[in-house]
Order: sequence, then structure tokens, then C-alpha cells
Amino acid sequence: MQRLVTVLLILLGTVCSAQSPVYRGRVIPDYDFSFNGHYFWYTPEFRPGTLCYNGTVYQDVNMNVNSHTQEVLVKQTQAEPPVALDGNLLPWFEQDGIYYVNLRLAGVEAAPEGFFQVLYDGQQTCYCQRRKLFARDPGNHDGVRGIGYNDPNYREDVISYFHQQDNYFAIRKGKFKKIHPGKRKRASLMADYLPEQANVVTDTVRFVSSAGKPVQGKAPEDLPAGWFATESPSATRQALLDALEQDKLIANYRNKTYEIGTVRVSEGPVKVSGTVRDVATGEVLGGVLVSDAAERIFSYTGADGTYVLTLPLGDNVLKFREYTKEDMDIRVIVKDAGVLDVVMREKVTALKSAYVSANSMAEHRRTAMGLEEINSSTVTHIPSVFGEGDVLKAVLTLPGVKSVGEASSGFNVRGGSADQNLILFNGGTIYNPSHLFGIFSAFNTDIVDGIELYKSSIPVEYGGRISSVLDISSRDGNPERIRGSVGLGLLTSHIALDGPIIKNKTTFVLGGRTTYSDWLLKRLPADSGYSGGKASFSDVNLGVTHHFDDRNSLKLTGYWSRDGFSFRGDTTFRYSNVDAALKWNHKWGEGNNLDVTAGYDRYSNTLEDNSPANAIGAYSLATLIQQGFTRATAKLKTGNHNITFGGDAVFYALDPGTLSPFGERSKVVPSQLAREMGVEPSVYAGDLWQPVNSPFSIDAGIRYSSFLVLSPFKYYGSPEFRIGSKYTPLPNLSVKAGFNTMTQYIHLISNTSAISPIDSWRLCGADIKPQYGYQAAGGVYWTVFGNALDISLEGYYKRSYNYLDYKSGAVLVMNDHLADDLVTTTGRAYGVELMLRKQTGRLTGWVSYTWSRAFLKEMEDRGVETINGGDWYNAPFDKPHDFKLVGNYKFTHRYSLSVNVDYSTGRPVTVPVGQYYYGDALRLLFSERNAHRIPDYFRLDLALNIEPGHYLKALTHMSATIGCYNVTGRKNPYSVFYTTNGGKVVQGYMVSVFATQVPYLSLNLKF
Amino acid sequence: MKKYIFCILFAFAVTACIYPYDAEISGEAPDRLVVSGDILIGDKSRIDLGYVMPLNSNTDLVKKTPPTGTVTVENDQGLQFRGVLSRPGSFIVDTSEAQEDANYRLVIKLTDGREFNTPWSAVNEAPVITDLSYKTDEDNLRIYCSLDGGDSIQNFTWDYEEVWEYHAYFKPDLLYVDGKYEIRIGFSDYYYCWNSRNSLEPTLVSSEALSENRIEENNFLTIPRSDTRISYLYSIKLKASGLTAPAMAYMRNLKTLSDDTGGLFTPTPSEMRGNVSCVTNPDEQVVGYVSVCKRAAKRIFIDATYVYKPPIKPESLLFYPEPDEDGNYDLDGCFMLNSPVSCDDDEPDSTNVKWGPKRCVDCRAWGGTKTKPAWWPNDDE
Repeated sequence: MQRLVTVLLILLGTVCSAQSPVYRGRVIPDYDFSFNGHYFWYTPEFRPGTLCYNGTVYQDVNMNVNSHTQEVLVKQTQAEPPVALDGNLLPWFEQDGIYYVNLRLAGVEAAPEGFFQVLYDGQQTCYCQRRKLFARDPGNHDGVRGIGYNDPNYREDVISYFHQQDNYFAIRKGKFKKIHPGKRKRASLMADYLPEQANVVTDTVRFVSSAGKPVQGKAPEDLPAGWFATESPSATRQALLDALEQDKLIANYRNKTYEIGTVRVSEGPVKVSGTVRDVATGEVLGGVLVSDAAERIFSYTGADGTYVLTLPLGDNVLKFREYTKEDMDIRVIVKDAGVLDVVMREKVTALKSAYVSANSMAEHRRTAMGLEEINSSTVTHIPSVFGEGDVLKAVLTLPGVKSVGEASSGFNVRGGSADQNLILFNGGTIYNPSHLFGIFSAFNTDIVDGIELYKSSIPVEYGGRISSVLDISSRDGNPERIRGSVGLGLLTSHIALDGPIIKNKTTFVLGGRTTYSDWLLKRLPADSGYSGGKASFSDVNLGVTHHFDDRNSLKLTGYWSRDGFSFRGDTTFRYSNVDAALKWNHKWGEGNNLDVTAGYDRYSNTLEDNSPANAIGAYSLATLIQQGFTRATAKLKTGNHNITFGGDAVFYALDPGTLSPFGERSKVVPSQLAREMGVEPSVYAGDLWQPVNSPFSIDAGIRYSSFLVLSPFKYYGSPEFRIGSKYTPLPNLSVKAGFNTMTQYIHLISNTSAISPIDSWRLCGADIKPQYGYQAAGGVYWTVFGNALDISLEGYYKRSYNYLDYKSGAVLVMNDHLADDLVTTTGRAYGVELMLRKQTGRLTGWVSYTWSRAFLKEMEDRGVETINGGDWYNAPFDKPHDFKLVGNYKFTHRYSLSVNVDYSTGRPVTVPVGQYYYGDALRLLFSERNAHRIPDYFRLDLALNIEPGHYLKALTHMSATIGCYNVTGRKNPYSVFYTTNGGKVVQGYMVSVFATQVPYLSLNLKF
Repeated sequence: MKKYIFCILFAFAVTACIYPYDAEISGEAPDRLVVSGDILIGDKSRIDLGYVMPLNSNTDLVKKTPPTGTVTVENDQGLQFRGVLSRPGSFIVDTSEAQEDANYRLVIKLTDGREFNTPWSAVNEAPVITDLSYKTDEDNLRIYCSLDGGDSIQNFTWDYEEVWEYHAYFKPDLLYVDGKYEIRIGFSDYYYCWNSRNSLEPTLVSSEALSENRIEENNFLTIPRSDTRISYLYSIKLKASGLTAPAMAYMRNLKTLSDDTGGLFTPTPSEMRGNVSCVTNPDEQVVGYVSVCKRAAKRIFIDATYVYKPPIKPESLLFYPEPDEDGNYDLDGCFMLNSPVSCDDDEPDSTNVKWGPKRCVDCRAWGGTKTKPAWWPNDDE
């Protein structure tokens, strides 16, 4: 924490000093929330003192100490705002006869950062550090004396105050030791050191003021010789301020105005670029909003932390916003194009801004619509079953995103099917994004950095699916030190490790997860009926990033996962994802960027049926998808234009079915469906035209996608258009419209509601045509209540063609003539999404309501065989009403309560409408396809999150989540079905995956 | 089946996964005729007619409201085989003398004027039943069959008839019938009985993925060793046919729709069209697929004396009579083994010896009859 507060936001390195910034700013008030008491060491009054700063001793300086941030503040006059000095340049200061030292600068590496009072009796020395820790205490008005607890004018029920904590240290036998805080022991020790003052140790201040001054010429032996010597040039307060103004020193960013460029050019605007990093870890920060004062000109940092803005010449303020970081505003004078690298610090104390305004107003800045962003910290605060933070479940809380059941693998975006979503993890395609049939997502939240879901405006660099793009990226390792985390849940555990391989050059991040459900199942009693079952999964993530220089970096990522489960040993399912990618990032010029990626993806699944009753027919059925891909995307910024262009190619090799005998007695003939191979090359170009100070912006692009079936040869190609526009008549009001066309050359072949491990994928070919579709959408975005609440209303209309449904009785596995069993359908979907999102204050979250419909219709007339007579029928994921609420209320910095509410109309199903005897067995007659619905879905989840304490210097930090999934215990149906019990009696049943409250506890340890 | 997987995983956290459910689907069922049965060349064909009934109607009612009319099997050489009503809705057509080298179809004429038929179809060959055998393990007797489809049969279907002889537990010496003692030393009138059962639905197996059109050692029936069926002498007759691919798909779908729906990975239910169409109204949908086929049959007997594991010791059923409130003994139908009294005693001491319930000496109490099949291989009566 000391590091956080003392280093604060230092503009990184030589770049800034080379820009020769001037120093004329002022301290922005540190605390924008109400609190009782104060954070100064003794008194808010600024009093004269002497300090040594950057090698010079300055006298008669108006100064004080912020004990919370451990900063020394100076003022020119009492009326002027204070200026914070860089503690790294301040070895000692003296005020009211009390000496304070920065022990770190004195070479005492074991000492906490910050300042220490010197308690010295002429023979022995000890040190006192006073810290003011921020605390919140709901409802307790009888608090600690002396900090204004009972202030009658204080209106909040939750009392916020600075809790004083004095720690005593001594150096004994060369080791820096804390004197135990027990009063008796401390008193004893103090008495040992300073016997004549033993009875007044509780009032150390007065004691020190009289006795703690170093004896002339004899500094405490712990400190270097001549530590307090004044041989250094001595100067006055004015000299200090003059020095500061001349900017001979590196100072706190908040005190400064930075010049960008040295000689003012005649015409603007010019480009300002830079990299944003985390102050504590040095990691680059992606997704940071960088904007000018009016928020008309803005940009987001990319995954590599870089940003580029085109700014007019002259005075300006650059705003940096990110969810979990403190808001940062930097004054700049733009003279010419230049670089401004910044660091941001984590939001650790300012509770009221715990979730700051990173995305507030975001909709007014970007032209794209239908873009949802979630960061990993949000994911971990959304309650999920068994407490495992889940990326996909977080995505499902967004409006317009639905699933067919709470344990299904895929998700449906705006009336699209599950296979119409492109799921990318570090650029590689994930074909099955779930573990254990959908209960857990395949992504480790320890590793995940950012999650972006494009459900309407899809950038030109993405293609290959017609509904949405879910782009998930993993974070980089810490460039400074090794860190790690371990998590334990009810069924799963995960571990992550990251750090430097070559300090500040090469980093790694490694993560893994596994489950012990298999182990538990083996211990279930035999008579439970479940003891023969097996279910397990594992995944491993690896990322290595190397920075050659400021402009070139290389990132290698790898992902491997496997799942296996069986029912009483006779049917076993297995599937596995493997992805590897290498990405080269190159920057040049002013904010130009090039990404070149190449990779390999593999998805395999296997079904083994070894039923003892049919050993002769026991078999193993496997499918395999392999793809190699390469992608090059360049982004250029010229004037008001942000140009994107590039190309990509995906090579597919699919083995849609391989049948093998299983076991020695099996007579199954090995057979294999012909391998399908194809290449999907695409080129694309787009331009985001965003004039400075104009309320209009347009984002338009074209992508030409094509597909070559290699055997037998067949070619498909089509242009895809991506158009978006925005009009912002008021700073807090925007209107947008967009239109997209998309094409998809790979199909999921399935006749089940959820993605199943036995589903196979097929490339389009001579008899299976590509899917294509379009979406038209519009929306209104309004930010109210002082940017506290974002209201959005979006509507859309979608059409799709050549989506594959199946004929009645279709055989979808090992079918050489698969197209004969499939039918092509056209899809139609429309809907309205209303969302209210609050991202500031103690209460954050969003509430959304969606009304939408999704229909399918067979494109071909097959007479009486046509599905539902050729009429439109409900798509399996058509759920008209959908209400979602995700909220988090922070009681204190450490404690917060999360709530999740999910309501939706029941999904369509085909159910029996009649019964009859066929021979001697009772049989069921089913309705038209998807003509009925299962009961509505409702679920309430609650979780209490306990975050680590403030003591960030601790070696480990434990966080815990205690929660309950499905608090009301509602038996939500996954499906309903009827059986005749072997042809005798008709009985209806309902499958409910989590039919009762599921309490959970998960623990996470960071080190 | 896979729907249980969730229960497996989280049995400790989830109380249950499957609950009875009533969709409360009301209203009339679609008015559809149901035609079930096959045209069996060289055998007697049974054709059943019925209607689809509402889901919530009584299952007895479903059986009892068949349509009326005539059922005829025709071949393309002009021969007709008229069905005879054996019970309401069920017709027996004697096609045992029908020639194999002809195409056949079924024609149904209902009394309401509607007429239905199936397309002309050639006769499907029957597979050869190469083996019908059994094995025992600790708990079960398993019956296996092996079939050879030759070059032409890939889709097999079979059903079976079971007949078994069993006997009562004891041959008593003293009966108590209608309030009177009846001395019947070694009484065995109801000692041997016979019972039978047909498979409820056909088994469907395909050799499509196998190297030969052979089904080997398919364990199609498993009987617990404590089952009365294998307590003495057991017989099973397997009747196997070959199906065309469309017929196989239809029958599989029919079975799936009724027995294997609702799981996570089970297909979404979807009705298939059969091969029966309405001549008088082509838009009318009909349920049913009528195949034309020959049928192979094979029977085996299993002397199960050493296989059977009685679920109880018969002696444990014997009891000392307890008087009721009035001091009377309710022993009607009961018996006494090895009467302790001489034949001359009128009032044997009924309280100091063990008696047994009637079902121990009357095999009919276990559901069978005294009707012995004519082809039964022993002399028991």
C-alpha cells in the first residue's frame, strides 16, 4: 500500500522528463467522499519545518504529513492548496523539533515505506510510524475517541473515518524489528529504552518533542553517518517552490501540467499516444478510456495498454478512466505530437468510487452499439453456482443473451443459435466453451483479463459467425515479481502464477484448474446409484510475453482443456480443446498499430459405448476439428479517421466421424467419414470517422469473406457490410443506428437443445450452403443523475438464411449423406432491450428487460413432411420476456453483497398431445415442433464477498465468498418429458438441474 | 439417461433432479387413426386399429374405442386376404399361405367411409436365428440370441413369447376349506401351473456398423434368479424379422419418443410420417408403419431347477394360528402339512401345529393356470 500511495501516479520514466514538463498544478483533493476526523499526522494545520528534498535542505517550509498516504505536503501560503512531494526524494524532515526519516532511503530495506518519527534518548533509538487507515463502520456512532464520531451534522449512517494506528520499530543486531503492539510489552520496552519517560509512553508525541531530537553531531547509529547533516545547500521555502516550478524534480503528476512537444507547431490537431500501466505491478492496462476534457475525443487502450488520441493544440485535460483504478485527470499543453505514458493506481480506499466511471458515458463516446464489456473483477462478483467465477455465466447476465438451460454449454445472442457465436480466446476459436456440460465455463478467471461481447456492431476484423463475437483475452504476467493465487471451491480448485522471466522484458502467466467431483463420486455409497459415475475436467493456460522494445512485442499463448464423464461406466463422453497462438505487435509512427497472429486450434470429442449387454456392438465414436489460422490487422490514425484494414485466413480440417470397435469382443467395423477441408480467406477494411468536436461519427467497413472447399472443389464468396453511426446532440444523450451482414461457413449439426458432446461440426460444401444473415439495429443512450446512471434502449431486427435444422428421425452421426437428413431454414428475430446501469457509488450493477422473439421456417416445401407445415415455428431459444438484475452493494471496502436475479419465459419444447396403443405398448403423439413451453424460469442468487484487508504489505491476501445459488429453491425445469414406462403408463417428468438452494464457499489466496 | 448425470455429480448438494410433472395439456387430441402390425408372409398377421386419445384420458379407454371396418391384405397378383376381427380393433389376417414373390399392401376401409392403404411392398427376408441360449451369473439368468442377416438384412427386429411351468411350495395332507377340515394326503391338484407373457415391444438392432450382417450374443432379456419364471421349466420363443431402413427409422423414432426424451443430449422429439396414407383425404395424417416380411422363430427350454434362487424359504410362510377377538381361527383355504392327527379325528388340534397360507399349495394364486400347452415336453399335470 505504501508503494501505491507514495509512488501514486508518476508519469513513467524518461519520456516525461524529456518532454520538459512545467510545474504549476495543484493537488486535487484526495478524498471525494465524506469522513470524520482527519488524515494528518497530528493536526490539519500546516506548520513550518525543515526538509531535505532531492539533496537540498529547505527551511521554514509550510508543511504537514498525510498519514494515510504517507505523503509530505507543502504550501506556499496557508491559503494555497498543498503540493505533495515525492517521498522517494525526501530522506528526512523536521517539524516542531520532531525528526522524521524515510528509512527506506536510509537503506533499511525491511522497513515499510513512508516516514518514521525518531524516538531517541541519546543512546538508543526506536521509530514510530503513524498510519491513518480508512475505515467504515455502519451504524456505530459511539466510536473511537478523538475522530469526530459523534458529529451531529454527519448525515450518513455508515461512519467513515481514519483509524489511527501507531507502530513502533527498532533495529536490533542489525535487524529491523517491530515492537509488539501489546501495551504492556511496548511500555516495558520503551521503559527499557527511555526509563525516565516510561510512565508517559502513551503520549509519545510530547515525549519525542522534548527528547527525540538528535544530539548534535551524533545521529542515531542506525542511520548513515551525516544523515541529518546540513552540508547540503540550504535553501528557503521559496527556493523549494522555485525549484519545483522550474521542474528540476520529478513530482506528483497531480501537481503538474505537462507539455507535449517542445516547439509549438502551427497547425493541429496532433497525435498523442502512450502506454498505461498499473503502478503497483507495472502491467499494461487494456480497456482504459482516455479522453479529452469534454469527452468528445477519446480512445481505449488496447490489450497492449497503448492509446492514441488526436488532440487540438493548446491547453487540455486528459482523463484516464478504468473500472478498478482511480480516475486520473492530467493537465497538458499540447504543442506537438508526443508520447505520454502514465501509470494508474488501484482503487483501494475511496469506497464511493469503488466502481468508477470508466464505462459511464462510454456509450456516448463510441460509435459501435451492442458492445458489452466485462472485466474479470465483475465476473468474480456475480454469484455463480459452487462459487466458481464464471465468464459465460457473467455474459448470460447481459441483455439479449440467453441460454436454453442453466447447465447448457452454449448461449444465444439476439435470436441466434449457439453455433452462430464466434468465441475467441486470445485469437483462437473455442468450439466448446464449457466444462461438465455447461456447469462451468472453460475460462479461468484468474487468467482472463477482458471480455468483450459484440452482439450488434461487429468490427470488420471479425467474421465467420453470423450472430455475435465473444472475444476473451488473457492478461500478461507481472514484469516485476512473481505473484500467484490459489482458489478452493466446493467442487473445483484453481491456481495461477505469473511474473517475470526477464525482468521488465519477458513475463509469463500460468494457470490451471481441476475438479474433484470424480474423487467425490467414487466415495458415494454403492446404493446411492451414483457411485459408478465419473465426471472430471482440467484446463491449463500459459502465456509468455516478450517486449523487444517499446514498439515490438511477441505474445505466445496456449490453452488446453479436457472433460470426461460417464454414467455407470457404460457410456463415456470426452472432449478436449487445444489452442496455441503467437502474436506479434508492432507500433510505428504516431499511434499506428499492427497485429500479426498465427495459431492452431483443435477440438475433439469422443463417445465410447461399452454397454455390457452389447459387447459385440461396443464402439468408440470420435470427431475432430483442426484449424490453423493467421491474421494481420493494421490500425492507422490519420486526422479524424481511424482506419482498420487487414486480412485473415483459416484452414479447416474436419473429421466429422470416426467409428472404431471398443473392446476385444466388438465386431464393429472401423469406418471414417471423409475428412472435410476448406480455407476461409478474408480481407477487410474499415474507417471510424470521428471529427473533433462534432456530434456525428460514422464507422463503416467492408469485409470480403470467401470459402474454398478443397474436395470436391467449391467456392463461395460474399461481401459483408458493417455500418454504424452515432449522433450525440447532448453530452449525455446519443442516438445510434447500425447495419451488419455476416456469413458463416461452418455448421453445428445437432438435434438437441443444448450443445452436446456428440454434436459434430460440418463445413459447407456442395450440398450444405453457407449461413448468412443481417441485423439492423438502433438505440438511444441517456446518462442521467450526474453520470451515475446509464439508460439504454436498443431495438433490432435480424434475418438469417441456411441455418440447418433436422428432419424427423434424422441420423446425424456417421451419416455419409447427412444433407439428406437436414433441412435449411430461414430465421427471423426481433426485440427490444432496455437497460439501466449504475457504475458509481456503493451500489453498482445493472437491471435489464428484454422483449424478443426468434422464429425459424423451413425454406423448402416438402409437402406433408415440411416442419410444422412450412409455417414459422418458435426457435428452441425463443424466450420472449427476460428480466435480469445484477447488483453489488459495498458496505465497506472489504465487505460487499452481490445479488443476481434472472427471470425468463420458459423455452419452447415439443411435448406429447396424445396417446395411443401401438401393438401392445402405449405410445405418445407429439405436438408440432416447439409448440409448447416449459414453465418460466426464475432464480435469485446472493453472495457475501469478503475482500483482503488494507494491509497490502502482507505476504498473502485472502478473499472469500459465501453465497447461495437459487436462494428460493425454485425447481426450474431444464426440460419436461413424458415416458410410457416401457409402454405401460404415461407419466410426465421435469428435469431440474439445481432444484434446491446450493450454498457454497470459495476461498482465494493471493500471494 | 444422461439426465441423471447432474444428479450424479451433485448428489450431495442437489436433493433431486427429476420430478413428476403435468403440463396440463388440455383439449382434444389430434384425430388420427393408428395402424399397427406387420404383414407376415408365411404366418398369421395381426393388424390393430385404434385412435389417438387425449393425453389425460384413461388408458383403458384408449384401448376400448377402436374404429370399425374391414382390413384386407392384397398382393399385386390379385389375391386378397381378408382380416377377421379377433377382438375389438384387432384383425387376424391369415397370410400363412401367401406367396413370397409378390408385392403386398394393406387396405383399410372404415365404416365411416374413409379408406386407407399402404404402398406396394416386396417381402423382406427373415434372418436366420443361429443361436438362442442362456448364461447365468450370481444374480441373473441372461438370454442371448444370435442372428444372421445374410447379404440383405441390416435391420433386425424381434419379439418373444415366454411360457413357464412352476409349482406350488407344498403338497399338504390337510386342508381347511369352507369351515371344514379336509384330509388330502399329498394333495397336488394345484401343484403345477403354466403362465405366459409376450414382449411388450419389439427389440430393434442394426448391423449397419458391423463387419457382417450378424447379431451375435445379444443379451435381450435378463431374468433375476429369484423370478418365478425360472423356478422350474422355462421356455422362450424368439420371432425375428428384417426391416427396411425407413421402417427401422420409424420404429426407432417411435420408441425414442416414448422412452428416451427429456435428457440433456437426447434429440428434440419430432414425429415421423409412417407409410399408411388416407386415400379419401390425402391431407389426413395416419400413425403407423406396416412392413411386409417373413419371420423366423426358434424356441428353447430351460430346466431351471438348479438356477432358481427362491426369494424366501417356503417354511417361513408357515404359522401358528392366532385366534381373533371372538376366539375363532381364520384358516379358510389354509393347509396343514403332515397332519398330526389320525384320519378319524373330527377336530384336529389346530393351534399346536403350523399351518400355511393357501398360496403355498395353490399355484393359481401366482397368476398361472392349469392350462398346459399341447407342446409342453413333460407329463406334469
